[in-house]
Amino acid sequence: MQALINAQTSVIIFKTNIETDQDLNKIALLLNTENRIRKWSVDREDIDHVLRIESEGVDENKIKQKVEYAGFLCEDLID
Amino acid sequence: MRMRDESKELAIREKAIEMIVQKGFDGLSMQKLAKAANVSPATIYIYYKDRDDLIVQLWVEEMDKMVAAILKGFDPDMSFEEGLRLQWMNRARFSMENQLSNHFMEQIKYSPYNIACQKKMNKEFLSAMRDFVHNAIKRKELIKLPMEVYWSVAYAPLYQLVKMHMMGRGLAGTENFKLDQKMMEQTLQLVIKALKP
Repeated sequence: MQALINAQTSVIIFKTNIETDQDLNKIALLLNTENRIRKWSVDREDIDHVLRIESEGVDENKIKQKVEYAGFLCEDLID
Repeated sequence: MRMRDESKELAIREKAIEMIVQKGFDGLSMQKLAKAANVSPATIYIYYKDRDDLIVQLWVEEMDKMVAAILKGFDPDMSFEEGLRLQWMNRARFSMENQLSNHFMEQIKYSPYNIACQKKMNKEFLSAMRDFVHNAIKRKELIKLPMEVYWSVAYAPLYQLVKMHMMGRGLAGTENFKLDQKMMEQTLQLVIKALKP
C-alpha cells in the first residue's frame, strides 16, 4: 500500500518475512542504494514483519520485485 | 495512493493511550491496536514505523497538548506569586481534565521510554519555565536552589493534592477529599513563603 504523508513524502508498506539480522543486511544493500528512499524500517516484532519505506515517490512494484528477487516474501498489507 | 486521514489518526492515538493505561506497554501491539481502533494495521504503519515509535510519538503529542494548556495566559515576566498561581491553576485543571493522558505520561516516566522521550521535550516549555525562575531570582522573589529542590517545593505539593483529589480519598482513607480553591491558595501561600529569600 502506498500513502502520501505530506506533499513530498509517500509511505509504502509491505508484509514480509524479513526476520534475522542477516536478512536485514540483505535488505539494507538493496534499499540503501535507492536514491529516492529517505528512510526505511522493518518491524520485526510484528507478525507481518512490516517493511515501511518513506520515499519521494519511488515505484512500489519495482521495490517489491527487488525484495522478492532477493528471496523474501513481499506482499501488499491488506488495507 | 491515499491521503492522510486525521480522524483515523486520532482514533489510533486515543485507543493506543487507552490500551497502554489499561494493560501496560506490553498490552499494546500494532495488530491489537488496529482492531481496537477499527483500522487496518497498514493504516497504523503509515504513521508509525513500529510500536516504540508509536509510543514516543504519542508522548510528544500529549506533551504538546499539556504545554499548550500549562502556558495559557502565562508570561515568564509575571511576578513569582502571580506566575506560580497561574501555573498551579493550569496544571491542576489539565491534570483533572485529562486523566488518561496524565496516567500515560506517568507510565512513560518510569519506563525505558523516558530517555527517548526526554530528548524530544518541548523546548518552548523548558525556556518559559527557565526564564520565569531566572526572572524571579533576579527580582529577589525567589531563592536560588538546585532545580530538583525547586521543583519539589514549588510543584510536588500541588500534584500530590491533585492526586488525592482524583482518587477522592485523603490520608488514612478519609473519604470525599476535595481540593478546592481555598485549600489550593492556602498551600500556595506556604510554598511561596518557603521559596522567598
